[in-house]
Amino acid sequence: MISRRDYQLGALILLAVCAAIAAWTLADGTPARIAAGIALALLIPCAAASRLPDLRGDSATGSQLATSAGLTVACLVLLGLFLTVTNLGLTARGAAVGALLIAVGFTLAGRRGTETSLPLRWSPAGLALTAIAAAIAVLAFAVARHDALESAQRETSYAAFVLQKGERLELGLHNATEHSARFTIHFSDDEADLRQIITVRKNRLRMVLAPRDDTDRPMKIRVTVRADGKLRGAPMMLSVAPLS
Amino acid sequence: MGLTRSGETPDRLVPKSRPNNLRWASLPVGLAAVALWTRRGREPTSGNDLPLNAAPAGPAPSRRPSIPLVPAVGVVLALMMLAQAAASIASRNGHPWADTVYWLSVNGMVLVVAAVQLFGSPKPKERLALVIALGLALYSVKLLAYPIGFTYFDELSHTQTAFDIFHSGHLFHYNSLQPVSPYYPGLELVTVTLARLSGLSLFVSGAVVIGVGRIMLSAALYALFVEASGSQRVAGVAAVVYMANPSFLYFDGGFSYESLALPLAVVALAMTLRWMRLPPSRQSLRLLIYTAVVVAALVVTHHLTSYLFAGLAFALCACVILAWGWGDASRKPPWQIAVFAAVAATAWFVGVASITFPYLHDVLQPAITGVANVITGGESARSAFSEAPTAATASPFWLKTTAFASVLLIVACLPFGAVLAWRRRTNPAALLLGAIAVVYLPIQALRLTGAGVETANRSSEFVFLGVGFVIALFLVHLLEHHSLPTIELGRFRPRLALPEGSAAHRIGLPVAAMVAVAILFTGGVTVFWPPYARLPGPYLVGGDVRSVTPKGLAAVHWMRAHLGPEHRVLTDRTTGQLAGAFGYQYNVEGYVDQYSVARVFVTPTLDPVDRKILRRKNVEYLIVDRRLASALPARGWYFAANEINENTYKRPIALRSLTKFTRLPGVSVIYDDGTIQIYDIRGLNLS
Repeated sequence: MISRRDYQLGALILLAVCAAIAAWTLADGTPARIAAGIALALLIPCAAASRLPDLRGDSATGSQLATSAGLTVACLVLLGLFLTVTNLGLTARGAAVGALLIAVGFTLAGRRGTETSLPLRWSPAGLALTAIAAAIAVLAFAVARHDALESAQRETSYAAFVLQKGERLELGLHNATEHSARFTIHFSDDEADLRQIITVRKNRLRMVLAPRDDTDRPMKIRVTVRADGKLRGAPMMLSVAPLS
Repeated sequence: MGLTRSGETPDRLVPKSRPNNLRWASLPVGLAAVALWTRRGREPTSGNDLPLNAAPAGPAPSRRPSIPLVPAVGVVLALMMLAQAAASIASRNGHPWADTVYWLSVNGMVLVVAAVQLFGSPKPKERLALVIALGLALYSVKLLAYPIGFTYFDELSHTQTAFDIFHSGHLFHYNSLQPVSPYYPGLELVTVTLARLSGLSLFVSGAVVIGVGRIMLSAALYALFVEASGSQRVAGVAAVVYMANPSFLYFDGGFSYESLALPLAVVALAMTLRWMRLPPSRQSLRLLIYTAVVVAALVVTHHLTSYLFAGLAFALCACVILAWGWGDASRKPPWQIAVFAAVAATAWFVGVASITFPYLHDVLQPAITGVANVITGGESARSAFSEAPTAATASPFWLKTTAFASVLLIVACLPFGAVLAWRRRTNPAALLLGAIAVVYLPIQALRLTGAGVETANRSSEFVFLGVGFVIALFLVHLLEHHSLPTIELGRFRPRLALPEGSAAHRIGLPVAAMVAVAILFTGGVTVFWPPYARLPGPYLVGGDVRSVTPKGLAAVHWMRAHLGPEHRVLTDRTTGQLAGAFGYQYNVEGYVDQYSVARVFVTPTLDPVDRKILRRKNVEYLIVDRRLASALPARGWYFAANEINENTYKRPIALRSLTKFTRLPGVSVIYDDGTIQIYDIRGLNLS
């Protein structure tokens, strides 16, 4: 008969294989890919390492958790070192195979160890309070992150730039706000003075060709922005040196 | 360009294609794994196979319903985190109450766990869980303040190394921000591996890795202190006191190589202590191999920490031999681990990272020389809190007082705690930690010099291993015996005992213990971290973390996207960090002859010396942040610590000096967002 410990051994290996397949095949940004990656890199090897009989010790002292996590991180460092100094390179496939080998290695090394069990006894009240604590923590991060992103959005409002591409001069106008904006551009060199008005929609970058008849003359470009009928920010001053 | 539509910094490029045909295989494999895990199977018969937490034999005790301790404390910690988030938002938006909420919530986190550890009777695993929960809650303080990207000075340096590894898949690319970083890539290797596997950004992956390190550190500290004291209560209190060290809250939570090296070192120390107790056997050999694996990773992660670990391992050998002399021969000296650590660190230094020597020399030599000069009278001692050139960047009086009080408190408690550690001297761990605590006093001498302050602050994460231990011994002794431990100094024997049942005993001691913990923690944060860097806020000139703004990020991202990487750029300190970390540009710094490169921005006109600087340094682009002209720099300099005026700016740099390049023939202003301009000076005549 197969013991529960052996079933857990098999389950760990299968979980690691599942996570490796998911980490290699799923698209970035999907919750399943994120979960698989974290599980493969950290959680499964740590759980497997905690079964090593030599590390078991007294789980109440923190030694088991610390050493299993430490071994996992250490193996990831050495795996990364191996991949980067060889021709393999630290690619997704190399990382997946390597992490899988670490997880399976720990699992097989701990085959004479004990079962893995949750460190604390759980009660409905404990689960409920833990869920509440987790929800509050997630709320805290969500709120902080939202405010930081909004603040960043407000600050990076408008920008202008020029790119000399051979004899062509391209002018870029960036509107990072949530409203359309009107860019007024004054082109001036020693002989001519031109004005152009360009509307750039929200969250858009627009490229225009700057009028430049004579590349031997320097050119100054002054850009001002209006949105909702009001002047926004300081004028943006660009200049282009002669090509020769 | 620059920020994404959502405002988040794009910090990675990802491959588009994935093998699709294997994707569906993961589902049945996962289901099979779950089925196996839940299958009960045959119950094991040998004692070694007993599941963890097996219930003891005998009748089941009656259990009264009660609130589970750890989840309840978890709710309190989570509420403190929510308050921290509110403080961060308020600070970013200029509300004056942000600082009050910040201090209340961060002290609330520490005090609630300290109170349970000191006065409660939690089970050992609950004590451990609370230590880990506090470690994570304190880590969240840094993340809640800056939740969308790395902002610390050192973080930006290591971000560049991580980007290089991520994009090339290989090591040892030159890092202009911190040349030694690529040679100790442990942190970046784990981060990039996690990013490759999970698809998370480098920022989130790095934050997860540091979080895992924080869990490792908290658990390993607890294990270390249990080993040294034999008491779960002392271990819990010691871990909390350790977290009051000046670098724990912010610096050790940053994306920097030491933040992962420290947990690895403490884990290796805990494993070493465990190995010392094992008789020679195959189990001992296996544990030795596991320890060697952790030490090998430590050597690749951080230089000083690996050297210190080797030193501590040798010190443990000495402690074991002393213990033998005192009649306790139950442990064996960890010669093998010490020698392996020393040989591995030396081999890495000699074979790979010889650049470490000039790097450490430039950091440590001024500190040591400075202290020697102060002692011999060749240099006047530095005044505490003297690096605040403006009132806005100075700590308020109550914080400075608390900082002094925390140092005095430690100095006052050290003798008593050291006596208690001495009584445990046959335990090598206790002897070692006691010796480390004694080093606290001479380390503070480094604070007498400007060059030594940084070293003193950074050393606290090691010295507090001993300080936390002895203070915890003292606090627990005080609460259990209501008297000071007996110290005999010749005929002088200071005694203090509180009458049983007195108000001082019932109320005074617990309150004093809580106040002491609050002073230690608050003072520790104040000693290291400047007030303007604790919470986010508007742009601050020369304010490092407060000078990292979305405008700067947008400008450097534009450079990378439209000009390409690896151009030589001259700019101010923080913009240079951003240009290197996110723009993949080469940040020019240093000197030409005796002239700092910063001179180029400060002179009213571009004179021959400035042209020489630009020519010799092959500068291609200048990035000018016009906000530099709006105020004096928070840290006293705009570009580097030894720039031309050396902390003696009386007025901000003139705007005309910063923007003089627009009037020069051959210079193009190619980017302007109303604040930051980028100049192309490749056409400038520098002869």
